[in-house]
Amino acid sequence: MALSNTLDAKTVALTAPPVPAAPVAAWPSWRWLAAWLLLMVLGAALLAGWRFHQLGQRFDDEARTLHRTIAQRVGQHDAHLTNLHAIAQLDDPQRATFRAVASAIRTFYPRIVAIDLVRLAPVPEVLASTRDAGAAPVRLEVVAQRAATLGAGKAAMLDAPVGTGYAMVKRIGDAPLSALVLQIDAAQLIAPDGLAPANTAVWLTDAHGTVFGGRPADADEGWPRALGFAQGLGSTSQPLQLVLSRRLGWAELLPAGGLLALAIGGAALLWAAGSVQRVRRARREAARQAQELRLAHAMRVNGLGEMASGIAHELTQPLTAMLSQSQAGLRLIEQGADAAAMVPILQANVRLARRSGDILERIRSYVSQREPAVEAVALNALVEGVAELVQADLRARGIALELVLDPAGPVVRIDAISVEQVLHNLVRNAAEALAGQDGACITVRTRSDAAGAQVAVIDNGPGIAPEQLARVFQPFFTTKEGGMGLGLSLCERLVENIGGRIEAQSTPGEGSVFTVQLRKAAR
Amino acid sequence: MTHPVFLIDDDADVREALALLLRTLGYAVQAFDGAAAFLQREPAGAQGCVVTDVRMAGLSGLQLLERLQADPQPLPVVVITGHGDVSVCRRAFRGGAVDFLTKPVDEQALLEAVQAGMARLEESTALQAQRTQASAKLEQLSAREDEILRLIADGLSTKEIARRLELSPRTVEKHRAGIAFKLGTGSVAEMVRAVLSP
Repeated sequence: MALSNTLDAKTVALTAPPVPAAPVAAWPSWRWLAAWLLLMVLGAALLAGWRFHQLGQRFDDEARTLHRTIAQRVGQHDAHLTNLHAIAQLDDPQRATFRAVASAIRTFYPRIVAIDLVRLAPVPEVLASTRDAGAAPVRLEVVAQRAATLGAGKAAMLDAPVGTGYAMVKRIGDAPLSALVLQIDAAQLIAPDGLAPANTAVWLTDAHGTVFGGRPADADEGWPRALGFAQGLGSTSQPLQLVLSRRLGWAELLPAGGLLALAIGGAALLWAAGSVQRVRRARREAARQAQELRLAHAMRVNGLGEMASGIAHELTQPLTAMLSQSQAGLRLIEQGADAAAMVPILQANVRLARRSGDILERIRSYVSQREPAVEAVALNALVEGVAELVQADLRARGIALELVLDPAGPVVRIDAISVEQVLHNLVRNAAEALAGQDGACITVRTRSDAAGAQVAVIDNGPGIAPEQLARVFQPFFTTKEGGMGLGLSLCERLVENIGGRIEAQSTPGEGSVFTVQLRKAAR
Repeated sequence: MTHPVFLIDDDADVREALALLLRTLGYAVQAFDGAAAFLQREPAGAQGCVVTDVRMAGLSGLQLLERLQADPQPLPVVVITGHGDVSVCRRAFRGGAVDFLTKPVDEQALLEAVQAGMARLEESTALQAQRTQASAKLEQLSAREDEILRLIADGLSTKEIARRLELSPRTVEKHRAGIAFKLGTGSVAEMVRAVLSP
């Protein structure tokens, strides 16, 4: 058997890269909740922005449509005035035609609430008129003033609103000075053909800011902000601007369905992220365990050298017996013994060969690369097996080994090789702590109670200082020259993997106790 | 009379096999599973050649060797070990071991070692018998005869002894004749040897 204890730290490092220090921690649930809320806020902001953009475009479309309609209507007013102007110049003292045409216009265009033909000089006088009962009266002096500023055949608006609308004045000839007055209800002018845009206020203003039509008092107030549209109607006679103001509500920006979809989508996204995280963690955990297996194996192979003399002694015993049995048998044959006398000798040799085989099998399984196998194991027998292998080495170092075994013979559920390795490690550490000390003694003690079983490795060495004791199980912590500091951390992992615990206690100057707590097998 | 071999090994397989081998070599074997069991053997103080393993629970083979060496008539000890390092070997021979064998033990080496042990045992037994005989003869001498024998051994003549003890030379001659009779020899040299043997 090739036994090597020349496997140095470097080789171990190559075989098994350092174990990552801590297992990957899972996110606590409050972090998931916070992440979900953050996603919700971001999603809601995006949703609101998109809805704002969408509503804005629809509003723009509606506003443009309305603007086009109203611009056409405003243009119609000029056409009416032109027609009426032509009729007013007809020689018709009774103004019958004018009245008929004006009435017809008003019937077809209800927004035109009054049409007057006015003579302004020398005395202002209404020549012909057709108007709604509710139409606001127009003061003739104002009409006269306006008409005076116009060239013949030109039309313009009165500056001030008239009732709920405005009035247009068109000058007809100089002698006598007369004018046409077309009075328009703004509310009907700006009323859309089809459905009114939702939550939208519409009004008209002129260049001076005078408002015609029903502008609500709170048109510019409120949050979320309003959408706005303002565009001139493109008419020289009616220099008006159409203004639309669209109120937005939270329910429009953040519809319940959208929010629900966000909540579900966010949760689904986080669940997917969590799954990825879980898979990655599982993968990392698997990689870490594989590394641990390799490291444990490397350390077992490394430790084999120290057990070499113990192994040799173990094998020498059955070999000695076999040799003596065989030589005795040969001698008996020389002395004339019959075949029957050979039976016990051959039986003994068979048993001894098996005993050797078992020892080799134990060594082989100890250094093999394998998955841990948890099964019921008699703890005392395991401790005795370890003691046999380490005894020769300890004797050579002048260290006594004492076993104090629980007479109850506890049976534990463990991976035997892991625990053997842990005990080898602990005994080896104790032996190193005891180097060159008089009366050096290592005690391996088993105990059991209702809760479980313990195996303790006790030495009477110099002990461990408290500040070091707290760190002995940390990876890469070592007080040994050339030590890697992986032995005890590996021991801890091996014990934890089979559901046990390992603890260290020490009194400087008196020695140390390493206790491995194991689960008992169910009876 | 042939002495038995006392075989001490705590490994049952090894003990059984070596016992069988020693029996086929013609020895009577008493096997023990440890030094303590051997020290309590029946009858107490029985003589024989000890063949012991070194590494045993309790008293080790080397400790047993030291203990046996302290006896006035030490038993011969053959030491067997599974790992024969130099320091154990040196301790064994310094402690007076007859031979030091390493496992697995060859039949011939074992036979020779046990033969040597038995020879040593015979030798010491013969010596012991001789001593016992001599001291038994000395016991028979009277106080005066004993006194005169010691002066003879000191090389004094009959006349000188008579003068020293204020006796007549005739009386001294008479005592000398009595001593010669009791010790069974008239030779001065043999008388001296009898006195010098403890």
